[in-house]
This record gives sequence, structure tokens and C-alpha cells, in this order.
Amino acid sequence: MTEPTFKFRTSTYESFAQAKPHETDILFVGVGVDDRGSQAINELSSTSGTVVELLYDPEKNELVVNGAIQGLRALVNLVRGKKVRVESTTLGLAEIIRVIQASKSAGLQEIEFTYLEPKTYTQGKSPVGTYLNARDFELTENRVFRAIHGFAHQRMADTKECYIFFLGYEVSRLLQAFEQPDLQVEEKYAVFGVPPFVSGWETNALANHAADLKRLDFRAIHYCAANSVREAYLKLWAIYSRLRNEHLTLVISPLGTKPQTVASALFLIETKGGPYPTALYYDHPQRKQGRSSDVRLWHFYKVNW
Amino acid sequence: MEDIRLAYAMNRAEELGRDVWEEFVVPLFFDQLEVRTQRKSLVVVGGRGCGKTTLLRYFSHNSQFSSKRHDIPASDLDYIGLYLRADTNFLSSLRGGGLTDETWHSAFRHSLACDLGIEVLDSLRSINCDESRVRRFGGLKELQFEALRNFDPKIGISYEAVRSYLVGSRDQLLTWINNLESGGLKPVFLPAEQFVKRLIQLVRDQLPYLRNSLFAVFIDEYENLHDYQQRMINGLIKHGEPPLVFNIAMKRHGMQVRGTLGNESIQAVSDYRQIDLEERWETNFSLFAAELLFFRLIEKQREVAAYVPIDPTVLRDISKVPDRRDNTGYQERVLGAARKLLPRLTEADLATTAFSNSRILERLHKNIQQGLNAWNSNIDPAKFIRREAPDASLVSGALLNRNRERPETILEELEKYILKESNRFDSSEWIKNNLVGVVLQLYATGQTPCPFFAGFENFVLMAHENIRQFLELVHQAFVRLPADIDVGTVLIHIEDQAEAVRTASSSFVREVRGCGTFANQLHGMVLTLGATLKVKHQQVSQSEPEITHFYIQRGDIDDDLDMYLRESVKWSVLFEEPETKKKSMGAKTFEYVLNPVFAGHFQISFRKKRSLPISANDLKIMFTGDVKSRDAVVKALIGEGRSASNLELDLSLGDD
Amino acid sequence: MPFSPPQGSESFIQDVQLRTQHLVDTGIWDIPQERFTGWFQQFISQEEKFFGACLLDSLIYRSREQFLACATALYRGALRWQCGAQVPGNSDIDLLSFLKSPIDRKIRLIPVIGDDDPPTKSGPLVLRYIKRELRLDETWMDWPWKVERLVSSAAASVFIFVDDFLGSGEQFNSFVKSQKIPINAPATRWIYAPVVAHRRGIAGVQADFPNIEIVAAEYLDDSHDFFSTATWDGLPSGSVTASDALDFYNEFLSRRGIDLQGNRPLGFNGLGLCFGFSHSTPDNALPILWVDNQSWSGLLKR
Repeated sequence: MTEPTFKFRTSTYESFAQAKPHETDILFVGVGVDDRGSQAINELSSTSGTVVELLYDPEKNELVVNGAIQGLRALVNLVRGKKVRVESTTLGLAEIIRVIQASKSAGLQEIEFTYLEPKTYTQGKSPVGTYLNARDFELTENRVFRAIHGFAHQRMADTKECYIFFLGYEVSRLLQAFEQPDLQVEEKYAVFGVPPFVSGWETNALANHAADLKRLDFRAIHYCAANSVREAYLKLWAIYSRLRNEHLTLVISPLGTKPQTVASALFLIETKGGPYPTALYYDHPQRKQGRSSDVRLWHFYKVNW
Repeated sequence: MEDIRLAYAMNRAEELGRDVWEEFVVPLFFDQLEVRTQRKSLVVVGGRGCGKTTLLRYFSHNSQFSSKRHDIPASDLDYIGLYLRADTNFLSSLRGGGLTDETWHSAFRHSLACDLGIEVLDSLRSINCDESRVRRFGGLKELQFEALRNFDPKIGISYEAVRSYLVGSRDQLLTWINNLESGGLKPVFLPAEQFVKRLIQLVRDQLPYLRNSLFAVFIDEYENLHDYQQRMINGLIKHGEPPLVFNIAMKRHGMQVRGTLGNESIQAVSDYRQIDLEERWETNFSLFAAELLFFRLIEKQREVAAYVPIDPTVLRDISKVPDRRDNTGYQERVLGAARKLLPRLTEADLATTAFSNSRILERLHKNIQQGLNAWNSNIDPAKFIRREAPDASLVSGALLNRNRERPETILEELEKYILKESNRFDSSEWIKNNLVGVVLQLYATGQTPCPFFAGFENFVLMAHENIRQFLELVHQAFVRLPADIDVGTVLIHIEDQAEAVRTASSSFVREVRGCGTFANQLHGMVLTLGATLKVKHQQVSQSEPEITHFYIQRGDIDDDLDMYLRESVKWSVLFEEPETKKKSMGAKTFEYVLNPVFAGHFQISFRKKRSLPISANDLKIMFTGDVKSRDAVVKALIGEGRSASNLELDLSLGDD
Repeated sequence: MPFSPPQGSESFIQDVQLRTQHLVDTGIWDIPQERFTGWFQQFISQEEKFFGACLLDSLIYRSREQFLACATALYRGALRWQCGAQVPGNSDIDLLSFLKSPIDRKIRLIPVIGDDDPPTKSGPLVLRYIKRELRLDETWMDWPWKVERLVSSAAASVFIFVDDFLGSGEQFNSFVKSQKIPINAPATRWIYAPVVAHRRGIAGVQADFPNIEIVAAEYLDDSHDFFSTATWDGLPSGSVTASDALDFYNEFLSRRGIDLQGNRPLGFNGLGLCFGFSHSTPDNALPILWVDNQSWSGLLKR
């Protein structure tokens, strides 16, 4: 695998009514924790023959399909010969990875992802209290970096690694990444979502991380559109192409936006088993209840391979 | 020539690598650890940055048999340290995926077998790292490991063959995990304990110089293991015996389970000996800090050696520990030199310095006026601002804002103080009790950091027995030196030190966000508690100066709060100490001290002086509330404190 | 109400200053250190410092790298679909493939040139940037004055106007007129593709030229006006309102005798933007960010 082979078709709409999405056989969804999530699940369910809820438990390394623990094989059987849509707003990386793996194994040529952009984030600009400044606080739920079968990686004294971090608002995710295994790698890159969902939203993300990127001695800072699977995917390929002759393991850590997370999943699956090893480093965040409100845009990403 | 300003840039053990022989300054409690003569397993406990990893790496073969070490006494071969770090991310994958628990237990055992097997073999290589060592010890080429074939017929016979088998088998484990669904090839699982014991036995039988060796495994970051993995290690601890024993290192409260995979459990004393590093550091930490300060400087620039009172070779030498520890003359020299390098202001100097700052005087004037107004007094405020007595003048600003002493009385006492007559500034300890609080209050509203934070002794207090915190404070101070300094006369200015403390402190506050699963809750608590203490410090009356810790006054500590407190202690965000004074009946008898390294960020005192009662409920909000409810807690807490004075809390802003 | 900094403003100022310093240090904002220091030093009193910090806090700045990421996203995404069936294929990167290939697809990239701008500004500069970044074939780029002939000879049927910023739309409208772009030519598609566009500018262009389609990588709107209620609600401004801030700003400009070189205090067409690129700053941005003369040192490059 030496160059990107996945093709994208991106469409963006201001509402579900404007999007008029085509019918699919299966819609994969997660749990909706905010307006966006419930809206996505509700509206898109009407366009799909079957709705399948996925939930991955990173502590037990198990995938729960419609409430029952299932292996990948069950998922392969489920999608064989079907038109598949994956509602990524409500799903985590692990669930997304498993659906893509299953779809490829089942011989599908194409799947579609959806993503709903939030109108506002609770962590965007918010006013200060008398003594405390809201932007100093992160209110995300607890998380921990855990490998996923298929993309695990063991750090050893003699392996060379390069880490690519997609970064969003929450600096705690990056700090946690460096606390857990005491990452001491020379090669590390940060990728931020620019253009952002809304101009100006990037400032907090950038400013929150800047001090740490300097302290942790990041090699370079890259940018790619926050709402584009394609841009993140091509960014990964651009870095990978430059590094692949250096005999190192490229470790992807998607801590940024969901489209970037989807891109990371696609990239990892595409490069898995190839001559230049890639791996995943991920913290399985639990999306917080009511973390955003309203929907700004509906994105549909058709991916074929 | 290397830049001494960067002598302290690396302050995490991980940045030093496995071989720390040259960088290791032997701690002054080292001869009391009795590690090399261990009979039982050791459990090393301590917060991040207190030197756990460095200590473990020092005991590992990489350091003990380092190529940088020139003569190795034969007896040192009796103890061979093997170092393993729990790679949480990877080890967490040894679970689930539709396989049975038993399969994963075997996989984890296999992973341990491979890693430890490789460590055993690498320790032989460390011992034989150069020609002269090979001549003295040697025998690796002749080693035969045929007996290992009972575990897997594919294992080769020679040293190299066994090592590459183990590396390959470890890789195969990873490949298998990454291809579970497609039925990847499962490696032959090796039973860790039996395999490693057999390997060690074969080595001991064939290499005479290792005949009596004890192989001691050190597992770092034990707290990051899964429950079943901790249980398995607990079993190894319980049943470890020469020639193979297991030791672990972890943060406080890092052992989630005491059981083994069988029906047993492990207990301190009977099954292991605990070494609490922070407790050990409590004595002589400042001497060690001073030694380390100069040691790092010499490492960066040899020329410095001529000017400093330490000898790096002595600091590396275990046998010299008593000489350092028990020689008061030496201690005075080293501490004295450290104080010269990082000078501090005495309280009198602190007062003079504050007095020479026009903005501080303006604020003082304002405080005095405010107090006089409250008393309806028309004494001229200028009468309280006396060049001859900066300290008493500063303190007057606070006294006037209390409802105790009338302005006339205070002025009278001030006059007596100036005339060196018997006065209450001295006899009632007005200065002693209030000066630091007053100075912190006056600086707090401006942008200039308070000079109170400068000084080697203060760095030591803020570091709180934590080497990394100490080094970071020093690092921030050193980077503020000009490029062309004279190493013979170098000292760091008070203002630069104060700036350095604030910078280092802020970065430690930020880092709390990376402190484990509940990092955001811990960080939120630090900000909320810090804001409360900061506002308390800004009270003009200073009726309760230097509140830096708290105790839980009422309400039940539920499971969640208990867990947050344990996490705070685990990550050294709070220090748990037995209550000094019994404040209430029936309440939990602990006090919690905010890590003093955060003091610079909030510009509050780092000395353990007064404590604040907080209800369990308010404390929980500090951890988990939204910004609004946290803000309300701050408001409530500072409101309660106001009852000591009828005068208004002044929160007006400075203008510099 | 007078403009008085709220409770906690000193830590806000310190915080913003430090954040900006980090952004400058890491090159995330490729603004020279001395420009940042020099500019901020001009705010002296607590009120001024607070105002300066609010400006920095609201500033949207696109470094060269960020600008390229925006341009790339536009050319590989939205712009391609704006071209519709003129660009055959089913992939986001079809347009780019055509612009890289030597085969003539009758698509031309035309730089927007302002009346008073040298050809090193805006449109031509952006075109050079994207040509290099995306490795485009130069053959498919042409000057505006050649458009008329390309249309009449049917040599091209899709025209993409390349620009960095659409502010009020006045400049683009006068560009279309002065370059005599045959906007009503049949079977020709006109797409204006500034990297960043203000909604008011989009409306302004479409009012004059309804058959010019507009697509951008980033959109600004009235909420990006520094003196909008939206901005001041998001700042730790206590009781300071947007109009207090505006009064303070005007008073500050006149008290300090800051020479705006003929520009309006709120920037061209009163958009009041806190926005800049590393290569230039649109004149719709507040002049206090970019005027650079005896009376005031600018933060951003004009």
C-alpha cells in the first residue's frame, strides 16, 4: 500500500429535509447524548430498513450489537450485500473501525458516513463566573487509553515510532496521552481542524494546546479541515508517504473531530498489514450528555475502495 | 561549552533512559533501603516525580552493569535487577474479543515470560558489555539452553537463538492479537514463572559468576494493570523466592486488589515490605536537593566544579552516604552555597522591597484609608506609612481593617515600635503573624509576582519532597539567566525566581489535566480550591492569613468523594495528613494540603499555616460541579470567612 | 456605562497575553514576536489592557499553513461540487485532477485583482500559493483581462475567480466591471471562490451579479463583528456592553491621536472584523490591528 486508494464524495446540507438522503438497508448508530445525536438517529432511521445499535466496551474489548456481544463475523454476515450507512456523530472510533472492517470483509465496495456539525459547543466561548473562568474547565467524562484488537501496538525499547495527534478542544486528552505510557518519542506531529466548524472556534483549541506542544517538543503542527473526512485522510497519507522509508511505526491518535476520527479508522484499515506498520493510540471518550446543542450542518461522506 | 541554563531541562526519569548510572545521585536514605539484601518482595510507593522510576532503573542491570561503570565488585553480581514497565495501552488488549479469561491469562503470562526472558538475557549482555568484562566474566557464547525446548521445541539452543525466539514470540503475540478474527497464528504460550525460573537456573548453572545471583524483577507502574494482571503479579509476589523475586512500584493507592488468581491475598509485612519514598525524603530532602542542584550543574559544565562544594563521584558512591548525611560541616557548606545561588528575602527585606514599590504603597494607602473609614477615623493615612518601619506599616494596613484595635491604639504602638520601645507589633506578634499574609495580599492584585516565593528554602518547601517539582522550579529560574553569566558568581535574582515559580507552578496546574481517569475532576478541584484560597489571601484584614489546607467539617464522605480524594492523593494533587488540631468530634481526622507547588500559580502561601473547614458537599462540587455551582462554592466559602470581620471584603483591582 | 474592566480582568489579561505568547512561540500564529510585544505595549491603563486583551482573544488569524489548509479543503471539496456536472466524475478530488492534468477541460482559474492592488496581492498571491501546494498546471490559469476572449472563442466555459477574502463585495463587484467580465455570456459558469467570505459580501455580490456562484472554505458573519453583542457576551466583560466598548474604542483612537490613514474605525464597510492572514489583512478588519505609522504600531501585516 503506497498511495491512497479510498475515494470520497462529500455532500453538505443545512438540514435533513434539504439533504433528502437516499434509502439504505442498514443504519449503524450509537447512543445520542445531545440534540445532534438524537436528531441524527431519529431522522436517518426513517431512511433505513434496519437500524443497528453498536457499542464498544474498551475495558472488556467487546462489541455489543443491538444489546448482544458479537464478534466481527456476525457483523460481516449482517452487512453482506447491503447498502450501509454509518451515523458517526453517535459512534466512537472502535465501533466505526469494526463496521468498516466488516464491510470490507463482506466485499462491499462503498459505505456512507454521516456527521452532524454542532451549532454551539458547550465548551465554546462561555462567560466567566465571579471567581472562575469557564474556559479553564473541561467537563468531559472519564477515559483511558486502551488498545483495540487489530490495531494494538507494544512499545519497546528498540522500536522507532512516529505519533500523529489530531487535537480538538480538550487538552486533557493530549496530556493524558503523555502521562499514561510516558511517551518519549522523537517524532510527533499535531493536526488541528482548520478551517474550523465556525471561524474563531479554533482559537481555544490552538491556545489550549500551544504551551504543551512546545513543552512536549512537537516536530510540526499541521492543519486540515475540521469537518472533512477526506482532508484528514489525505493529510495522514501525506505524512505517511514522507515517513515510510524511515522504518518506524506510525501511530495515529485521533483526539480531534469525528470526521478526523473516521478518516483515521479508514487509514488504519487501509494500511493494516502493509509493509510499513501503523497502529492506533486512542482514549475512548464517553461523549458527555448535552455537550452541544442544535445542528449546524449535515455531512454525508460516501467512501469507496 | 554547554549552556548551564539548560542544566535542569530534563526532569523526568523517562528522559534519561535505562542507564542512569552517571546521573544517579544516591539518596541519603539509600543505605537504609536494604534492597540488595531483600528477603521479601518490595512495594515501592510514591507520587509522580518522587524518584520511583529513577530508583528502579538504578537497580536494573542497565545501570548496575553500565559500561560507564569502571569497576564492578564481584559481589554486585549477586543481585540482578530486571526492569519492566507496564505498557497499559498494550496490556489492556489482553482481554475480550470473544476469548476466554483463561486464554488471556495465558497470553499475559506469555507476555511476561517473553519480556522477562529478554531482560534476563540482556542483563548478561550488560555484564559483558565490553572486551574487558568479557575477559573477566564471559561465557555467553558457550551457553546452551537445550532444556528450554520442553516449553517449545522451536526454541534454539544458543543465547542469540533464545533471545531472537523470545523477540519473535513477543511479536507473534501482537500479530495474533491484531488478527484474532482472521484466525491469526497463536504463539506457543510460555508460563512466565516456570520459564523464567528455568532460564535463570540454566544461566546460574553455566556461568559460575552468577551462581549465587538473585534476579529481582521491578514492575513499574503496577497501578496501570488490569485487575487480573495485578492478581497474577500478586501471586508472583506471594510465591517469589530466590533466585527470582518480584517487586513493584506504584503510586499511592495503586493496588486495586490484594487477591491473587487463587484464593490467597497478599499482606504488607508478611508478604512484602513497603518502601514509601515520600516518607523517606522527609528527612534530608533539602540537602539532597542542594546536592542535586550542583550535581546537574557540573554535569552540564565541568568548570563549575571549581566553585561548588560537592564532588560528583562522592554523590554517586553508595558507601559515602553516611559521610554526607552525618557531616554537619559539609551540609552547611552545601546548603549555604544553594542559598547563595537562589537567595531569598528575609521578612524584613520582604517588607523593605514591598515598600520600595510605588504601586504596593498605593495599595497600602488604600487599605489604610479603607480601615480608617470603617472606624470613622480622620487620622491622616500617611501617619501609618513610615519609612523607618516598613514591616509595621504594612501590617498596620491589615490591623486597621479588623474590629479589634482602634486606629489610635495602632498608631501609638507603631510610634513605640519606631522608638524601639516595648510594643505590641513585637509582643503580640503582629508582625510575625501577619507580615507574609499582608505582603501576599498587596502583591496579589498586581501583575508582578510576589518576591516571597524566591529562595532555595522556599523552592524546597514548594517542591514538597518531589524531585521533579524541585527541578522544574530550578529549571524555570535558570532559563532566566543571561547567556553570558560567570559561573563563579552566578546567582538568580529575586524577581526572576518569583517569575520562575509562577511559570513552573502554572505548568504544574495545567498538568493536572493529565492525571489519570479523573484528571478533569482533579483539575477542577484545584482551580476551585485555589480560587477560594486566593480570595482568602486577598482579604485586607488578613484576620486569617495563609490558609493553605482544609479539613472536612461536616457531611458524609460518600464513595464518590472518597474515590476523588484517593485519586487526588494518588496523583499528589492533595497531600493527606493527620489532623493537627482536633476541630470537631466525629469527623474524619485528616487534613488535605493543596500541593504547595501550585501556590505560585495562585500567588498564595505555600506554608502550612491555617486550615479551612469545607463541607463534604461543597468539596464534592469542587470536583464535579459545573462552573456556576463551583463559583457558588467559592462565594460561600469566602463569605463564611468574613464573619471574622464586619468590614467589607475588598476585591478591587490593581492597575499595573 | 463607562468601560470598566470586570472582576478578575487582571488574570484574564495575563491569561490572554500568555496564550498569545504561546501561539507566537509555536508559530501557530506566525506573527513576529516584536510586533506582538510592541503592539500590546501600546495599551497602558488597565482599561486599555483589558480592551487589547479582548481584541487578541477575538482575533481570528490564518497563518500561511492554516490558509493553505483552508484553500486545499475548498479546492478538493466544496468548489468541486459547485462546478457540478461541468466536472465529470464522482469524487471530491475530480476538479483538482483536472487542474493538474494537461488535458483541457475548459476550466480556468482567474485571480481577482483589486483596483489599487499590485499583482502581488490577494488573487495572484493565492493563485501562486495553491499552484505550488496542489501542484496545479499553470496552463489553466489566466489573467482577468483575457476572460472576454476566452469566452468569445469558447476556449473555456467554467471560470473560477481566485481570491483570499470576500469582505463587503464592493471590490469584487468593481473588479468584474472594470475587467469587463462578460458575466451574461451564455453557457458559461462563473464561480467566485474566495478562501474566506463574509455573508454580507456574498449578499453584496449576488445583488449585483446573481449569476455568479460563490463558495468559500470559511464564512464570517455579523457575529464576527468585534462590537457585536455576540462577541461581548462571550468575553468576560462583566457589565461592559458592546456599545460601551465601541465608545471606549472611539475615545481611545482620538485620545491617542491614532492616524487611521483615512480608514474608518470599524474597517471598510463597518464590518468590525478581528481577522487577518499572515500574508495580508483585509481592510474590513479593525484598523487598530493593522495601521502602522508614527502614531501606532500595527500587529498584523497590511
